[in-house]
Amino acid sequence: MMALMESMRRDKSTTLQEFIEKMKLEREKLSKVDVSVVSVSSGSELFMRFITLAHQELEQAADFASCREILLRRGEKFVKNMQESRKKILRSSTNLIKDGMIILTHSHSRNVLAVMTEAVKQGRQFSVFVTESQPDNSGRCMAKALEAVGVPCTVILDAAVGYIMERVNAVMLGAEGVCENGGIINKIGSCNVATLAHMKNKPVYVLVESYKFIRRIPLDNSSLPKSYLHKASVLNHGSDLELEHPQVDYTHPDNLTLLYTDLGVLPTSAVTEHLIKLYT
Amino acid sequence: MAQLSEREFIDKLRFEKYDTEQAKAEESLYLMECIVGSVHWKTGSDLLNLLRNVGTSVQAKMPWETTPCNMVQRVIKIVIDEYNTLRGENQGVEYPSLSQSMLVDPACGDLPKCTEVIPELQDRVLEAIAEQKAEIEQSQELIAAQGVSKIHNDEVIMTCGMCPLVLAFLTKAAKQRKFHVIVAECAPKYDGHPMAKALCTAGIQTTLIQDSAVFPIMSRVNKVIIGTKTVVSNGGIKTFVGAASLASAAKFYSVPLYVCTPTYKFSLMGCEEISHESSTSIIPKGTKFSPSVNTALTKLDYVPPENVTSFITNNRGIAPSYVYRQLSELYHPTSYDL
Repeated sequence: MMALMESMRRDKSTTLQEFIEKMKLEREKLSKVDVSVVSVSSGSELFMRFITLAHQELEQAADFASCREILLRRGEKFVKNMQESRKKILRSSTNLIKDGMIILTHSHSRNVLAVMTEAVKQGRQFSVFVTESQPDNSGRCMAKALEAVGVPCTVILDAAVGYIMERVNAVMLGAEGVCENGGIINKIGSCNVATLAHMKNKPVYVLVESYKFIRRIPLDNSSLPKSYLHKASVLNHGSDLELEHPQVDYTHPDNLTLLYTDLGVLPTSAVTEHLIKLYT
Repeated sequence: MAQLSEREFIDKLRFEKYDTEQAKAEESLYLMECIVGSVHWKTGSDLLNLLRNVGTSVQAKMPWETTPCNMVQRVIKIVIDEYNTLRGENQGVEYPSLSQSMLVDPACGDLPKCTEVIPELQDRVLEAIAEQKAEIEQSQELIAAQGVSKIHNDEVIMTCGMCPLVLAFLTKAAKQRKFHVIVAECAPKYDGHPMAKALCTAGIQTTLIQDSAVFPIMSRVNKVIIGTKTVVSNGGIKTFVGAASLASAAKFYSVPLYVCTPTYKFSLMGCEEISHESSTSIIPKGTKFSPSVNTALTKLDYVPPENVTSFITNNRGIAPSYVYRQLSELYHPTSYDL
């Protein structure tokens, strides 16, 4: 998002059309980089809509220079909102973690880390199990970060989720994207965790910002687009995709209990309504 | 009626002087009417702060009393809406662009600034409160009127304990349909007994059963209809003790569970801890009980939204997944954090 803002500032185009075309090119360039494609693409789409949807003000602007000012200002507001969204998630999830809870989490999520840090500051005692989350071992990074904050945590094998689930009180996940039906796209392995948790009647809480809401309803895991599943460098390399391991998977909304977002605490059925509000 | 002060209201709530949730809702509306009618406020923001203080003090002392807080938030929405309508008329209509709704921050807890002094605001708000009062009074009849469409002839309906709404629902339907009701007695208050008596008086075939017989009888039941104390924000309900096992039994036998609630019971509260209360009322009088035995009486039970089929409200039936939408219509998004 910050990258988009910078390119906006540096841009020297003289008409609105040219400006929008340039923005689209920048977005495509961003998606060619090895980042979490889902959140970047949804975030940038929302950014574009937000800055160009200031109809009233734009109509009154005399020339392109003032148009550009307006767009820049709105862009800055959007970026600021995005940075504040983590704080808002913290606010809606203050009472989520209670004393004596045993929480299971998957891979490295900054939102989950922030909520747990806040809970420690409020003096709550709880313990955490973190899955290793291969292939990049991001679970170990999460465990290190949690121990630095002072939360007793244990790293478990991805395969040990079924074994550990009976001991756990709740599952907390982050998300890379939230689909229109309330399902989430997250690091590979989240589908396992959520399905097992639902089977054992454990609540699954997802902490996610609202700019990650995407307008897509995947029917199942095989209908996820290739650009989400594999890193951009792998796609560009042209190797046989059947042999590549996917980076993300899709979790059905039935397995999730509640979504804690910067728009408040939402049940999975509320996502579609918020998407409509964000995109119209 | 004399002016009701906030402290008196809270004391009355604490000593449980109110019989039904409807009485609580009506009294809290009356309290807010007094506040709006008084001269302590000049701008919309002052009024909103006064109302918000009432809400926070009730919630701080008695977090399980959700009906008064719901009414406070309803009145806050009324005030904000009336303020916006009046301001819109004075300054030319300014529809907020929908992309601005991204900037309305539901989780921030700050009510919108209403700093203009508008003389008609007081009258308009009082009118709207009076409409709200009328709605509360009519809610029982409106719910009862839906009974005929929900119950068919020769059905077996199960209910638990005493709920005036369910009683009205069933007696109204009994005028046109012939059906059988099974009432669970609902210990330790045993208010299934007066419920069964009332149903008999209305000419309905009634059977009274123990709470432990709910599961075996459930296979012969067509519908379960209960009342509730609160509907929580994810679509579940917080209600009398025994409802969770009743709902689980209904789910097991795939029997639909209907909950009769008027809109003032819809709360923004999430499903938090159920409060317990220690009491000796479960022990029959006259028995000698050793003081080393701890007795606890749970106040409320939580039924998750998966076990509820539908809510029967003032004007229509709604699904648990729609509760979220209903809440956004009843209350203003910035008052969620009271």
